[in-house]
Amino acid sequence: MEKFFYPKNVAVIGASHEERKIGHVIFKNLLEKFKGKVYPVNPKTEPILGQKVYPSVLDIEEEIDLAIIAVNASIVPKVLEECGKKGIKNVVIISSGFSETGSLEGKKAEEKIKEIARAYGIRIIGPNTIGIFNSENGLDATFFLEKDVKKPKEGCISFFTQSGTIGILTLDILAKENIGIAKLVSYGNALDVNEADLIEYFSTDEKTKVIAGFIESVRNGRKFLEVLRKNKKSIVLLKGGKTSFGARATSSHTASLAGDYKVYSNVLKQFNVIEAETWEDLIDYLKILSTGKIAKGKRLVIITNAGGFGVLASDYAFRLGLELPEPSEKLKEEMKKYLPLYASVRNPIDITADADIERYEKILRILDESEEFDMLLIVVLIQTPMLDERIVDVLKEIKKPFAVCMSGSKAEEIRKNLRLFLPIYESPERAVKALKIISELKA
Amino acid sequence: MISLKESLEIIEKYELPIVKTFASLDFNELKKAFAKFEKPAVLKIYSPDIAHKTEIGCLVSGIYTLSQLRKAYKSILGNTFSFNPNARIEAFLLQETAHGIEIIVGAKRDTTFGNIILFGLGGIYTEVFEDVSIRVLPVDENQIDSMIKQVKSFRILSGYRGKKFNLNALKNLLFKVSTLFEREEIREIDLNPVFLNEKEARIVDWKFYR
Repeated sequence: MEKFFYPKNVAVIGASHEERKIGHVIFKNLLEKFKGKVYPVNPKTEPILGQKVYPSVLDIEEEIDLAIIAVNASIVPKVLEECGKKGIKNVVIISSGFSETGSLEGKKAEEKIKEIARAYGIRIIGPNTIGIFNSENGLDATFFLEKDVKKPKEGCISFFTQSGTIGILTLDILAKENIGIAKLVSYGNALDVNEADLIEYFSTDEKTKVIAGFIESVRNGRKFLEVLRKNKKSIVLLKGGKTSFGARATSSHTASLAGDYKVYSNVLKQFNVIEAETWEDLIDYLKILSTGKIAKGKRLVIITNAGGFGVLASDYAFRLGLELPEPSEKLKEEMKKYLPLYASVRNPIDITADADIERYEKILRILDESEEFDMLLIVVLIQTPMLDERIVDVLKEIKKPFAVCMSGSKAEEIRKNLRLFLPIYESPERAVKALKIISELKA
Repeated sequence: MISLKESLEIIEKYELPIVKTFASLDFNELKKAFAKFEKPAVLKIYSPDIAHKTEIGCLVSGIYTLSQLRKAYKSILGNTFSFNPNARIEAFLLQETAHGIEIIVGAKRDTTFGNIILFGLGGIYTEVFEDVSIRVLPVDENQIDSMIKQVKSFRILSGYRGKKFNLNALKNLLFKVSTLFEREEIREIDLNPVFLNEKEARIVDWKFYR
C-alpha cells in the first residue's frame, strides 16, 4: 500500500495532448506538484507540456512504482498487462465503464482486470475513481485542476471514499475551510483495495491522526471488523444508502428489525466509530478533529459576549448530555477582577456586549488554565464595535479543546482572510455538536 | 423453524429462562398439568405454520378453571384449522402467565458482518419506533451493558415511575443467547416476547430457525 502514496516516480498511462482530457489534467497536476519523476504514456509520442512521451510503459527504462491508468475502458486490460510485464505493482485505474454500469459487459471487463492483476501480483485502486492525493509529496493524481478545485494543505486527516463526487468536494471544501489533509483516496468500484485495506493502512500511517470516509457498502465485513478492532485512531464515517427499497421476505422480527443500515450503524457504535449523519455533520466534525485535540471529559464552559447565543449553546449542550459546571468561588473571584459588575460568572460566562479583545484574552486565559473544565465554547458576537479580526490572535493561543461560534458577514470576512486554521462554526448548535464528538473519543 | 423437541433441548442445554411450560397434544395430560399451574394460565399452539397466534385466536390467556381450559383447547383447535387446514400442530403449550415489561431478544447471521444479536423493548417500541440495539459477536460484558443502555427506551428499564427491572437477568439472557448462537447450527433466533420484572426474565415465545 505504501507505494500508492509514496512512489519515487509515476507513469500516467493515457496522458493526453488535449488540455481538457482527464489524462492531460492528471499528468499536468503531477508534473507541477509531485516531488518525483512523472512519465506520460501515449501511443502518440509528440511531447506533452514539453515532456517526452513514451508509447508504452515498457519503453520506460527506469523501474516504475506507480501507474495511473486513464484510458478508455476497452484498452485497460492491454495497458494493465503491460504494467504487469514492466513489474509495476501499484496501479490506480481512473477509467470508468465497468461494474458500476450494471451491465454484464462491465462486470466481465472487471473480472478480466482482476485476472491480470492476480497473475502479475498488482494491487489496484479503482476502477471508476477520481484518483488519489497525498499532500506531503504533491502526489495529486486527480483529474481536477487547481483553478476548479482547491486542494487542501498538509494536515492530519486521511479520507477514503467510494464516491468520486464526495472525494472531490472533500478536497475543495476542506481547502476552503483551511482544514489540512494527509491523504485522500477515491477507491471507486473497490475491485481490489477496499475500505478495510485503507483503514488498515491509515491506522499505521504516521501522518494520519484522524481517519474519515464515505462508504456505501462494506466489501469484506470480517476484515473490516478486524481492522476496526485493532485501530487506535479516531474514525468518522458517513454512510450512504441508508434506506432500503423493496420489502424483503423476512421470517422473524429479528430479521426485519436488523435491516442493513441498522446493523451498520450499530457496528460503528460498537467499534467506537463516529457516525456523521449528514454531509454537513461530516465537515463540521472534521473541522474540530483536525485540531488533533481530544477532550478528557464532558465538562464544557461557554464564554460569550452575546446572551442569546449563550442560551442556545447551553440548551443544546444540556440536551446532548454535556456538563456545564458552575465555576468554583475561587475561579469566579479571579474572573471578576477583569469583568464589570453586571457580568455573569456562572456558566455560561457572559462577559457582556462591551467586552473588548483584552477582556476575552484575560477570561480565556483563566479558563484555559483551569482544571475545572475539559473544553471551551467561545461565542464571539464579532459585530460589536469593541471587536475586530485581532480576536483571532487570542483564540489561536487556547490550549484546551475548543470551538468558536462566530457568524455574520464580518465573521465571514475574517474567516476568508484567516492564514491559520480555527474551528469556527456559524451556529452555537453546530459548535456544541462538534465539541460533543471530541468529548467521546478515546484518548 | 426447528421442532419443539429440539428447541426445548437447546433451551435446557443453555438454561434459557422460559416461563413454566407444559407441552402436549393430549387434553387429559394438559388437564393434569393445569392442576399444578399457577393461575391464570395461558394455552397456545406450537406450529411451524402459524406465526402470529394472537391475531387468529390460537392463544388464550386468563384461564382460571378447567372448563375455561377445555373451551380454550377447542377454540384454538378450530381456529388453527380454519386459518390453515393443513397446519401441522406439534403441541399445545400450557404456560403460566408472565409478568413485567415485554422485551425482544434475537440473533441472526448478517451477510456482511456475521453473527449479531439484537435487543429491544417489545410492542410499539420495536414495531413503531424500531428502537433496537445490535452487536456483532463475540461480545463481552461491557458491550452487553452498552447495548442495553443504547436503546432510547432504556429510561423505562432504568426505573421510570418507581418500577424496577432486573437488568442482570437481562444481561445474563443476552449473554446466553450470544453463546448459544455461536455454538449451535442455527441461523436465526427470535425470543419474543420475553417478560422482564423486578426478579427475573421469562421467555414466553421462542423461535429457532435452521
